[in-house]
Parts: sequence; C-alpha cells; structure tokens
Amino acid sequence: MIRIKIIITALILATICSSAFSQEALSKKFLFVDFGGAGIAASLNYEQIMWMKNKHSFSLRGGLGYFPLILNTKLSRGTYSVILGANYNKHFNKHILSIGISNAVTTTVANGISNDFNTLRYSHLIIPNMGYRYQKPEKHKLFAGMGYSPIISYDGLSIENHFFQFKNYFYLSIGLNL
Amino acid sequence: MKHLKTFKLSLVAMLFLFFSCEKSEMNEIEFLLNHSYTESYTINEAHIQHLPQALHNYLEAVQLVGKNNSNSIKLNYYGNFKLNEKANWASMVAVTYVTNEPLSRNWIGEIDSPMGKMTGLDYYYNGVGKLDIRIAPSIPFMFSDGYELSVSELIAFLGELVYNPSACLNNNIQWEEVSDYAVKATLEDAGLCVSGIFYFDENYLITRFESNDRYFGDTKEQLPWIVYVDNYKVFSEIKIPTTFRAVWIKPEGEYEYINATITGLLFDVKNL
Repeated sequence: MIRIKIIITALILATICSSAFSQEALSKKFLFVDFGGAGIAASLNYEQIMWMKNKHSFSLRGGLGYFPLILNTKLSRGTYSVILGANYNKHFNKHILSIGISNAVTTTVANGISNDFNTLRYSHLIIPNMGYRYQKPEKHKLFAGMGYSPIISYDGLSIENHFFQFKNYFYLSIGLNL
Repeated sequence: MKHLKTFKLSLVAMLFLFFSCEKSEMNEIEFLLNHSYTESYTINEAHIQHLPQALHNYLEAVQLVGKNNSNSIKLNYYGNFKLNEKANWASMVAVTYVTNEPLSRNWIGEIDSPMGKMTGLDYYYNGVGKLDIRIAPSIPFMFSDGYELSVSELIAFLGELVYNPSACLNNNIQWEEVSDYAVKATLEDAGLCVSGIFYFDENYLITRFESNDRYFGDTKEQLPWIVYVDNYKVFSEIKIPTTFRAVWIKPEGEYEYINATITGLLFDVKNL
C-alpha cells in the first residue's frame, strides 16, 4: 500500500514538475524557412515574440531571401533580399492565426540596356501576410504554416509609369521553436 | 506603448523606402529616348525616289510624304501571347519604344500567365539584345542574351518598320526589289546584319514581313518568322496596320505566338 502511495506521489510530482518545466520551456523564438512569401522563392527567417498577453502576441521577424534566375536556360545569380516584418498573432493552443506586414529590400545583379548600365539594382517590396500556423508552444518543436502574402511593389518595369503593382502570392512555412 | 511607437516609426520608414526606390530600367529607356537625335525635315519625293518602286508606293500610300521625319516611336497594343508552344493564350498589354538613331528597341509587356501577372522586357541597343522576364516588376526570373538573341531583337526592329515608316529612310537599311510587290531590307547595326522581305498588296500596303534570320526561342536554330499585318487605319496622321500576328514556321506547321491590336502610336517621343 505504501509502495502504491509512493508511486502515485511520485507520478503526481513528476506531472507537476513536467508541467512547471513546460511552462518554463515555452518558446518565444522561432527559426523557419518560408517557401514563397517575402523571399519570393525561399527565405530563412528568425522570429521573436516581443509582447504576449492572454492569447494575443506581437512578434518581429527578420530574414534573408533568395530567388534564382534562369540565365539562358541555366540557373544563375538571382535576387537576394533582406526581410524585416511584424506580425500580430492570435493563439488557439496549437493553432495560431497571424496577420502582419513585411518589407523586403531586394538586390539583383542586373544587366542594363548597354554594358554602361550594368549595375546592382535595389528594389523594395511590401508583403502583407495573413496565415495559419500549427505550432506547439514548447521549445524544440517543429511547426508548419501556410498563408496568403501578396507582393506590392512600386518600381521596376512598368507600362505607362503605372509603377504600383499588386501580385497575389502565397507561402508555406516549416520551422523550429528555439 | 513603446512597441506601438516603434511600429509606427517602422511603418513610416517602410513607406518612405517603398516610394523612393529608383525606377532604374525606365530611366534607361527614357535616357535613350532623350539622346536619340536626327535633323528634322519634311519628307518629300526626293527623299524616297531612290527606293524600290513598291516601297516608294508604300510610303506614299501610308501618307508619309509631306510629313516630318520621326526619330522615335511609342507603340501601344493589347492582345494575346503564348509563353511556349504548349501554353494556352494569355492576355497581354505591351508598349514598344523604338529610336532610329541610335538604333534601339525596348518592348515592355505585361502577361497574365498561369503564374500570375508577369512583366517582360525585350531590349536591343548597340548590337546587344536581351530578354528579361520578371515574376514581379523588379524580380527577374528568366534572363537571356547572346548573339542569337541580339540578331533576333534586331529583326524585330526591322519587322516594326510598318509602325515606324520614317526609319525606312535610315542609311543603315539597304533596299532591294524582289518583285513588283516585294522588297528585301538588309539592316546593319553594330556589327550585326539581318534581312527580311516585305510583301505588299495591290494598294501597296504591307501585308506581311518574312525573315529567315531569326533564332527560335532560346535555341541556335533559325526558323522562318512571319509577321502578318492588317486593318490599316490612320494613327498620328500615318496609315498603319492596327492588327498583327507573328508566327514561326516549324517543320510540323505554323506556330502563332502573338496576336495584337494597336491602341496608340506616337512619333518623336522624348518621354515614357
């Protein structure tokens, strides 16, 4: 009987300890890869929750993106981007809805009309996003997400100087809680 | 509150950056338009008398005689485009800027592809032709250049003489009579040389342009390329065909990849 009591007590303690440990182990930092989205082809991102109350959180994100270029049918240099963004997140346990905005400063090694014009070109994109993420709150857990992230630009090529362009775009995310 | 202030500041910085990015490619095209120059004169019989009779009759038929020469054009059109032989037709709007001296051609098209709207730039200047297809206006995903493309781009300039009749008087184009209703044009520029034949109807209006010099797609294979033009109307006091379609003649048959309707033509443009 005493033995059973000890086992039950041990189990209860273990559960309490485990619960306390998980509370401590809640992750507020994530590393993830986006396919599509702000990196156009793919991006490696770091995101950190800056503020959290009840089921609401606000996070900041930074990343590096890459989009390859097919040069005369071969893969070649492409477009690189630095991504900075902010998200508002609504948490439903493991399910997270997020809405936010990112901006990507991109650079392309571009060929101009003549060789005199060859240059590094910079461009700027605004990428709003709204999406869903399946993410357990504990550290070292993998998560996945998807969403809508249209690309808005105001430079590059244009007909009749209509520089403002809106392009529907999407993303898939796979990441790890840190 | 602190985070809100940071967020607001970031938003302002982001919008500033967004609207202040340089429109580099468009500036380059405008540079070419601004730096193209030939002496202005009124075209008369003396200017066209040395040309083959069919071409002479054509320039009269399109009402070029008596008009000022032009050193550049801006051509707007809409239509349909195929990205490849198996693709469905995609709607397209496009604008072409051409200068005669120095010779340059810039085509910008927006195509509604299955991947969403894509923007393309076809350009030729000083012996170099390039094709730049973009997934977004500033994000290139396909780029092509090289001798074959440069030749192909120069032939496009030749084919567009129907919208740029002043350029028929360019010194770097040699004309040769083929028949009563056909003339051959040979164009040299920056070490490249291309040729093609213009065919006329009984009213001496051009009905088609054919060249065997153009390279098919991204290959090194030269295939006959034909541009059919039709529905002549007066734009900017010059009679031009308002519809065209371009086809490749492949061993298995015709492959039409573009058809379009002209919506605007301006001469002597200096700005975009």
